[in-house]
Amino acid sequence: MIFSPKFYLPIIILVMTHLLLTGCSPNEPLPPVSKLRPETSIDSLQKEMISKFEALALRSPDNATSRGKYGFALFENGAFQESLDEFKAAALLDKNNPLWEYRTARSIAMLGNIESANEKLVQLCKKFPEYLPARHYLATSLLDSGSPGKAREQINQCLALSPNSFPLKTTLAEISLESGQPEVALEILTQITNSDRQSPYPFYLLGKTYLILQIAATNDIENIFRNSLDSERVILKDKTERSMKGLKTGLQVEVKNCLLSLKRKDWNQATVSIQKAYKLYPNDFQVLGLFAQCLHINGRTNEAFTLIQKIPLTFRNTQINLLLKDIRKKLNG
Amino acid sequence: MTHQINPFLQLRILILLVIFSSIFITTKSFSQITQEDIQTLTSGEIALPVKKAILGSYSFAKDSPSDFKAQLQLAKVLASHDLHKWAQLQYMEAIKLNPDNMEAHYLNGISLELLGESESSLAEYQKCAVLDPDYAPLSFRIGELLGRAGKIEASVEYLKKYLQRRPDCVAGQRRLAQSLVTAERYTEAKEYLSKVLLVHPNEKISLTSMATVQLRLGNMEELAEYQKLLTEDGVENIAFSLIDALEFNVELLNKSPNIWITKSEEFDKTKQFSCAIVCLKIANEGRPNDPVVLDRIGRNYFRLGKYRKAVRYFNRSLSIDGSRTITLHNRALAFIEIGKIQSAIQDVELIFVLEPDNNRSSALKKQLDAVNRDRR
Repeated sequence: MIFSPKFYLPIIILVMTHLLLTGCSPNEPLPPVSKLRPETSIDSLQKEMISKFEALALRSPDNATSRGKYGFALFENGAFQESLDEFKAAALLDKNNPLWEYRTARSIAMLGNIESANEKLVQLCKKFPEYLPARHYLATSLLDSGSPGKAREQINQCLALSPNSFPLKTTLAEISLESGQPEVALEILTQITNSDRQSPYPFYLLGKTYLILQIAATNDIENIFRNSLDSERVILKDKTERSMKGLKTGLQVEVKNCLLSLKRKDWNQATVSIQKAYKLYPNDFQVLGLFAQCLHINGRTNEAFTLIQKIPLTFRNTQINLLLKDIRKKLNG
Repeated sequence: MTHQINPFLQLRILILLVIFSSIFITTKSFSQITQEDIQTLTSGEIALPVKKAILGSYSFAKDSPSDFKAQLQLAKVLASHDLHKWAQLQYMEAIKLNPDNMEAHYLNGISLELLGESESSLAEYQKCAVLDPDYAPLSFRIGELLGRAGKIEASVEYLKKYLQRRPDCVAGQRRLAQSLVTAERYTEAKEYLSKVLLVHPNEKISLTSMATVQLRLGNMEELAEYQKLLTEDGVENIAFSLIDALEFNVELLNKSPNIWITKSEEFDKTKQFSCAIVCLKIANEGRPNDPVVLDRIGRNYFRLGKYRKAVRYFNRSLSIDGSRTITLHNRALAFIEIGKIQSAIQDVELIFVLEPDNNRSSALKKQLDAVNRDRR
């Protein structure tokens, strides 16, 4: 009787059902909501942003999205170890969503363990072959770690699924450029930058291609870089990632946003960004200068003048002196 | 019953054999540079951008074994990094696919020349002369190799042909003059050497050749004059370069950090700081632990008014070598721009702990001391 299949069949069915329900892995305990580690260095603006999402995660610790969102807030503000724990928690709660495993791998990579992150991403891409963000990121990571051939394999697989995607084509161009094929890169980048004049990263790569091939005047290349030097790679995002906007903050980010808005002549947005920074860093000379500039543009010249006085004479640079000259001119009619 | 083999079947088998063997030969021919060769070339202490260029171009070539461009590009990448032994093999692969391509033969000739294989190199250049007789540097290279082989009259002929196309090229004038001296055609040699010395009056090789020419011509006064010139300060050896578009296109592919550091210095001089940063970032990828490169990136960000980014690079530089007082000085300046006076004071104090006699930072120290006093 004990050797009969009739005896084993219900047990096998039970085990299989259990494995299916638990995602074929033994139950892992759900980690508690992460606390910021004392060694994580972040500024007050970042802390404020992270706290908002921590509260959300604490309210519903069993909800994958709220844990994941907290993970995003941590990641975007440089708390990578903590973000890793939160993405892991989200992955445990929502096993069928590749996003959380993918973000776990990205946190691992940011912590310096690139090889382990790449291995994780390779496994994930096998399990979810059509999930483009992970494969796209894997391609860039392989390129950065010195495997351009493997990187190209991955990006070609992505392009087979989404042949018109500009971010994917941009990565193909980047791989080509790094692979000693600047002419191939040039062809792709010319096509992209002719169609999309808003994304700075393809322009950065185009400038780099011109620089390598020496096919443009250096003044023109310098101009391209002036507008794109700080740009970053764009990795394809899934729906949830796209909804996670505006999480990145901090003094540096707000100063950068202010400068960008000033460049675009969006005075209101520039003021909003710099006000955020000023609230927490009222003695930062750059913040003071930018805030004074915004106030002056918005007609609050007296306040701008008072602010500038806070900067010691010795440390007023040309920009501040020019602003002060303009303020004085206005104040004196 | 005996089995008779159908003659059509025999023919089919024969055709199949031919097809398979040709596939085998194609695959085999690419394996001239093997995966192991590439792995050997890219292992050890090789700069990451160089590694990526070699591995990447190899993967392009491997994926398209019948694509002439991909094969040639791999050869060029190898040659650009002075890996001429492998570059030469790879040029041969490209030539197999496109035997009439002048560029491939020409670059193969250069690699062979650099490998010391003058005869093979000359043979390649002579093939090029048939394929594209108008390419000026070709005449120079043939003239040069013929001169080295002792075929002086032929060398003179080619070098003259070169100068007909590029009459102002000092490299050509000097080389022709040398061949003319060997051919004992001193009056002609004098003419070309004078042209070189008009542009480069302190060029040592031409001065020496001119002294020889004057001696042979019996012009003792002129000889004494040139001998005197040779003893003066400022006499130097100058490596005249040839304007050679095909060779230049290969050099462009060089990703060695030193090349990019030199390029960044040129951009520094012309105040094109963003270009300098990009060059230095390529160098930094190849030399991630070089504090000087990181410091220079920081300095260029500072010049662009991106102070926080500058601080980040200075931090990285100092994390590698905390005793670099120049970087501490630069970081202090960046700290001041972002209002971190206390941090600036700390950096300047550290400078004077490390170098009590530091002159560079003394003015900055005075400024900071004054601000500190006012604050108190």
